[in-house]
Amino acid sequence: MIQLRNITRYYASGSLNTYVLRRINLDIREGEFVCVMGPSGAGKSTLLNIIGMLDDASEGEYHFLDYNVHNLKEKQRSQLYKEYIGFVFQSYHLIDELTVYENLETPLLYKKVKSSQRKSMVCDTLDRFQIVGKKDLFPSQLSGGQQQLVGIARAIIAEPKLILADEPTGNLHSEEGKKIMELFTRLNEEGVTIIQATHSEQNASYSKRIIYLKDGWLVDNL
Amino acid sequence: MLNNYLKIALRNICKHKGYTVINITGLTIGLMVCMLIVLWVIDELSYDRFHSNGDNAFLMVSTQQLNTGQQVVNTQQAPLAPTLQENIPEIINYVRYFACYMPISYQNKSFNEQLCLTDPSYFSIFSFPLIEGDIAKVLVDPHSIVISEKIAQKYFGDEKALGQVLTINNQTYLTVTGVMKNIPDNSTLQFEVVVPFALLLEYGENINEWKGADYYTYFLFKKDADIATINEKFQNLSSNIYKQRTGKDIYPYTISLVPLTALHLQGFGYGGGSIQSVYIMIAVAVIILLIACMNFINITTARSAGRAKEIGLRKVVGASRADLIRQLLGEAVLLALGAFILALVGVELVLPVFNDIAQKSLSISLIDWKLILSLLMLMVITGILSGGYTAFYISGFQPVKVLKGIFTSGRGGMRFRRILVVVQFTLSVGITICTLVLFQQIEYIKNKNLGYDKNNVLCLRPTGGVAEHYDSFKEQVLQYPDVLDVTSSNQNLVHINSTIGNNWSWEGRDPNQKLVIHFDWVSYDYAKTMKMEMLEGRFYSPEFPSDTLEGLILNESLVRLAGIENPIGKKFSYWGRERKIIGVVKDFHLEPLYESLKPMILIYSSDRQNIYIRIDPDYMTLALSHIKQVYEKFEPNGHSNCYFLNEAFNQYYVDDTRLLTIFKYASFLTIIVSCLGLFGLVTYMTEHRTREIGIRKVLGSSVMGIIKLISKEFILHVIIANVVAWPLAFLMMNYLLQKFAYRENIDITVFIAASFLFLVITISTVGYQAVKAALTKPVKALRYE
Repeated sequence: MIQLRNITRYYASGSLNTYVLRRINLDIREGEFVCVMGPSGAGKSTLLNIIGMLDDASEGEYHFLDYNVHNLKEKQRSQLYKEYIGFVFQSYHLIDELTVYENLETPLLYKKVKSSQRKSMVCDTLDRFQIVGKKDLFPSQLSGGQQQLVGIARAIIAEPKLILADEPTGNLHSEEGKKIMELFTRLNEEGVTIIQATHSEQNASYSKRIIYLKDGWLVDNL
Repeated sequence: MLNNYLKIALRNICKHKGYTVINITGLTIGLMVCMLIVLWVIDELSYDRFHSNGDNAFLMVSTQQLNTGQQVVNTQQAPLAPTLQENIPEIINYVRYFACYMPISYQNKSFNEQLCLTDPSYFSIFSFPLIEGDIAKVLVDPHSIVISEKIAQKYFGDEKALGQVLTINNQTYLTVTGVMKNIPDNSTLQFEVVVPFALLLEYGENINEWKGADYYTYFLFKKDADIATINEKFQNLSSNIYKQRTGKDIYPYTISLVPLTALHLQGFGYGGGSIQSVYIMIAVAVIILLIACMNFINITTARSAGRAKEIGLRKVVGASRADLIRQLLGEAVLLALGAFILALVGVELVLPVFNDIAQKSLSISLIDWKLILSLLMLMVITGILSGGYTAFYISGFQPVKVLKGIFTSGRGGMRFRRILVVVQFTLSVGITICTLVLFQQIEYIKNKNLGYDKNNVLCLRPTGGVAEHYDSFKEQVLQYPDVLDVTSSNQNLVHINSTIGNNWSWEGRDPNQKLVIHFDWVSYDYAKTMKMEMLEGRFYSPEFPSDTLEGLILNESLVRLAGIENPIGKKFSYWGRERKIIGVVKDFHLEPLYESLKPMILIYSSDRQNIYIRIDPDYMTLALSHIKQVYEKFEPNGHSNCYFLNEAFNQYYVDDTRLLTIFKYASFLTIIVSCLGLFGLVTYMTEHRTREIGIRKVLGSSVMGIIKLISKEFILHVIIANVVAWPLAFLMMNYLLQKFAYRENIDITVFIAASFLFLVITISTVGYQAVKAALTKPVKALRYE
């Protein structure tokens, strides 16, 4: 599903380039549950952003399904991304001005899903995540765990093939974190490919494969 | 989707009430001013459009080059029109008219009214619909009179006007043959009483003679006739007629044909109106709207950092740039729509005040599709202007950066906002300078030494008895010590526009000299009443009975321009009548100050069109009641038109005074709107820099240091704006004041004053926020971050 070939990412700072990722080669098949680990600044988030098409690689090739992402235009990439990828963030990143219901609805709006279908999809998801009672609350009225639940719900509502989770439990206490990881496991069992970046060994234990990054190098691929 | 956008927009509006208020207020003011001005402009442009022949009717105007400049004459000799019609096939019809004041009475009511004496074709060429009477017949009988509804109401109340008999000049009986609908305000011709020329015959005036050029002459041409060709024919034919009649070789006039619909804006109408004012008004409207839009853009882009997260997230969940632009533009248009509705309400509220200033009777209910369309376009443009930049700017953010919090509002954005602030202030300073200069000019005009004293002079237009028994009226009035002097004349002193043309001579005249000489008929004590100064000789006096038939008074300019040395006692003739110069009066302004001093002669006459009474200003009310008592003795039923000379004088500057008033409001509003914007921007900037300010304080910066830090750049902007505004305002004022032959020098202190004013305003606007930010405890600021 994903093939990265010599992916390199650097930022120009003055006359020197600061490397964040160095010649990463990685293959991920559909249905995997991959964990990216490494110390702060190792390049975990950057790797996820590149896979999630929020950021471009400076060099290298990126194949996603049958597409050569590195050659695509912004518009096509946005199309691809809308279709197949869902994102979960450490700090949830819900739209503050929208209620839970509306936050879930937003991706469907951009996918131009019809009103009636949209309604049933949002209701199904609310039901599935057991947050029906919270649908009219604003993000600021929820606890961190609940917000992340909404974040994940939003990521999967459009039925993506791939979920990218950047430190999904970083801001949660352990009990909430555990619930989230169990949720991911369940989603993975339903066939969704998941890539998560994390510090936590505990979280890593839920995944089937672990990748270690250090100073931008891929040092271990278990 | 729309729902979602709307929700977000409304929630954003509510969440940031302060900024919303600033934004909407600015836009509302901008739109309001614009709407008022659009109404005004539409009205100005609508003048005389109601005439169904508007496009084919033209006024004949002749222009003459003189030693003293250009002279435009818009009246012609009466027989010219029929002669032209015989020879030029494109002419379908013509109409001539001549206006004068005459007393009209009915039973015990008597008023001095303006009459229009005209050809029977008047009602077929101009579209003044009749409620009663037949257009083709109303002016056929020499003893017919057509009046407006208003006049009918005045004389007859609810009685039927048709067939009633009115008395003119206390001697002629005229039968009402038609009643016109009230004359619309946007008509250049404002005659409420129309009488046929034939009546003039009874007064011994034969209009078929080639005499004074006193008749406004309009021609109706065939549709699609080529005006340039016709104009040429007019020129040639008029020239031939002139040469034949006078025996002279050169025809001194250039003929032009002014379309009826262009009269008002070309200044041929009454009470001002000029295309220049229309341009200025449009410029003012555009400037205020521009400033309001800039405010909007400024505040919105400055706040874009706050929106960045939402926009970034929307991109993450799949929004395309087009989606985002649509959303942001929509929000701007929504705000503009809100402002539009508020502005509409506002316009309705301030319209009475505006009508008072503009001396119009505008109303939103007069809205036609053109108006709706222009206002709607205005709103859409405002929305797009305000929202456009913001939408393109924010939607270009890179989501990763935004979400990582690397996002700052960007150097480019900052520079852009600075430019906007400078432009805003340049415009505001410019308008303020213009206001001050215009104010100075109008004060200058009001206080200029005119060569006579226009204050405390009461003018009367007598209707009958007083004119007939002028001498005893004068004697009786003068018995009161509060009445200082009394005199009479034919024309109103503030605008003496009658001329004897080139028809004059003196012993040593250079035959090549072309000089149009103005004249007025005056009576004893004219110079004394008006406090004019005699340069040489004396004024007409009853002590020298021969004065009335043999004497003549010249003015200083005439003596100088004609080159008469030692004028007293020299012979001077006009219209072939020879007189002896008995005095030279010092120059006085016989026309509005758009014109320079003109040569003139004052001829003795017992004409009583205008009576002037100088009153002791300390006993004003007493004097007025005394005059009234005496007046009523002579005219028990009469209503005199009376007014003060200085009011009549000011009447000529109504247009300029109106412009000044509009500029006053405009500069006030631009200052308000600009300050709103500045305040919003400073508020945002200080909020945004809370952390920086905190750190600086921790590092030991003083309160003063922080205030300087924040104020510095804004003050710099105002200084730049001033530097740019000065030359612009100077050029603008030069353009505006060029019509004045007499003007105040544009004074540098005005510029300095305006700049100082703006510096003070800026410092107080910025200062409040700066001090507030500087006094905040640093710990609070840092914890907040």
